[in-house]
Amino acid sequence: MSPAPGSPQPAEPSHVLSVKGLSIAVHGRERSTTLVEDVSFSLAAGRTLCLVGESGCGKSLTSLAIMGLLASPPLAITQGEILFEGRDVRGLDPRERADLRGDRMTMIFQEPMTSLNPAFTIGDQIAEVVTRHRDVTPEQASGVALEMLKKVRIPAPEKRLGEFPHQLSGGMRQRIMIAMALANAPRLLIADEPTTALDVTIQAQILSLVRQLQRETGSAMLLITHDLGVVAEVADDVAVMYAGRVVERAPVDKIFDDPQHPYTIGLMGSLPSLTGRDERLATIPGSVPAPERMPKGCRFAPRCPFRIEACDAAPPPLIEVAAGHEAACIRAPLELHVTEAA
Amino acid sequence: MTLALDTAEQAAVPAPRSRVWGKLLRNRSALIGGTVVIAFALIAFLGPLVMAADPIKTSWSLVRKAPSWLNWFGTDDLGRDVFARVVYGARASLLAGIVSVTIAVSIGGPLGLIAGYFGGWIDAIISRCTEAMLACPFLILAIALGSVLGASLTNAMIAIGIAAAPIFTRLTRAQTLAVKTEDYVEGARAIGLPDRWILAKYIVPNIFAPILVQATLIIAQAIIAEASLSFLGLGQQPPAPSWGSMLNTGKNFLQQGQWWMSMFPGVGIFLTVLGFNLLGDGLRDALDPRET
Repeated sequence: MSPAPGSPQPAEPSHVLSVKGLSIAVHGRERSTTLVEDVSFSLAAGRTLCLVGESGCGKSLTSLAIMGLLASPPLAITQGEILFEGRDVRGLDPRERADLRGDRMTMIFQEPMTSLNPAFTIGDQIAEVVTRHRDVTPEQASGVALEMLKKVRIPAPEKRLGEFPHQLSGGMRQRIMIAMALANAPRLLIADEPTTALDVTIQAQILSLVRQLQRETGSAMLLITHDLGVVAEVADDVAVMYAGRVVERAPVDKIFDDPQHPYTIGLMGSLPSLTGRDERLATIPGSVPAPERMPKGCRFAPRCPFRIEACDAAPPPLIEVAAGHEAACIRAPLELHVTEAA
Repeated sequence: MTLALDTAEQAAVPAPRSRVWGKLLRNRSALIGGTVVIAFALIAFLGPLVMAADPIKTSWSLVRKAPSWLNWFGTDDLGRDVFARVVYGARASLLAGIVSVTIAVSIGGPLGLIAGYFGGWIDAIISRCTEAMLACPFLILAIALGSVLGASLTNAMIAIGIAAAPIFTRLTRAQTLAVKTEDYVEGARAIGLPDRWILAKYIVPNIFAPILVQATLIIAQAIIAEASLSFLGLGQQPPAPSWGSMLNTGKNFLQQGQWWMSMFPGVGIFLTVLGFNLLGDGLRDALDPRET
């Protein structure tokens, strides 16, 4: 499946990242369980793709697979390709892979409180990313560190350079993480729920900061989140994941205005609204099936109000319902069936 | 949207180094232990420089004399000054404690680091060897190794170092296992750092504290081990003084009421071991981030 290492790939040049048919499994002693199945999406320079889904749907696994950070064993990519700047990164040796990380593809983690080394100053840690990938003197690297601190709007940056992580708040630490992630002006920035651990007031600041710096560097961003508010704020495109599969893919306005997959519709319905507070929030009945007991057909079928017999036969492929808008539902577009579900 | 930071974000807490020092100085056992250790270190390394008495000069006229103004701690069976021998013996004991623990940490530490970080078959091999060595009591292992290597202070230190190494292998491995799952180690991989860099800058600095505490406590045990080996004739060789060999000679005269030959080296061992133990306990409390 994967091409010979180093061979040039005829991929769309504008796409920084294309993931094609990616499957990830956990190999147990007796059997393997597929956690992510047939996930495909692509991402162009300067664009932001949000990977949305609830906990355990495989979004973080997908991002770790792209970074080459899957804990292997027991996790392994069983199928598919990850094309980064046109090359399948699965063909690279670990050394080349490590050269990409922190340089051309970088990552911001969810937990700023624990993602910095407590034993070194933040100046050292930002400079470290630069010295690892660039041929610079220590002075030049600290210069970059200072410049990055200014870019992420840390007050009194000269003083902060010499401070240790425990002296900073969560929001400040997340700014440091962003500074580290963007120090080498990456082509691809993966942000795995970067605002989940922060106060609501800080969340908006961090998001707009990331958004602005991304625009400055022209990086593509893959933003992992379960927060639809975040999606609305920063996404260009959205891929909705459910139980290890992409169920819907569309530009952000289409997802909010005209969701096509019943799961996406359910997600939108469960958003609290500023008007009409007297109604109860809608919920999706049932729960996500365990990975080893996935239904053979559509994985959402057991919870779906639009289910018909054919849904249980085979996993539905992504069908284009409008230009650039795909949904993995054999009944899409659903407007045709709304009356029967009610 | 404004990007101004609120004041809570700028609140700073004191640096860890000064906090540890503060806690150490407020901890009574650490203070006493540290003082005792420093005092013995001064005695061991400065005492011989300022003291006129010769620890190996024998005198037929001064055999087994009780403590007096001339010989503060009395004299031994060959007429040597016990005070001079205790002072010179302190050097052998402290040196044995520190050198053997240095050996133990430099063998055991890297092995534990490799076992904990890389896991797999290499961990299995290192861990099984460690467990095999730990199955044997530390002192017995040290004595066995010492007798294989041959009787000398250097060999005794090597033997004690090797015997204590598995203690550090096990501790380092456990600490490494805990630290390697931290987010910042994952973060280090995410910026493409190679394993040796992660080990040196992300693992070692963050597991240093418990190893330092353990090393301090093991120094106490190593001092006892050196005394035991010297008592058995496997450590410091005569006529050079050592607390262990002085005890060995002194015990022959206890029944005749000539207590000074064994009591003073005994007190020396007791106090240094106590000092290192108190210091180790105090360090543990001061370095424990959960204690406030």
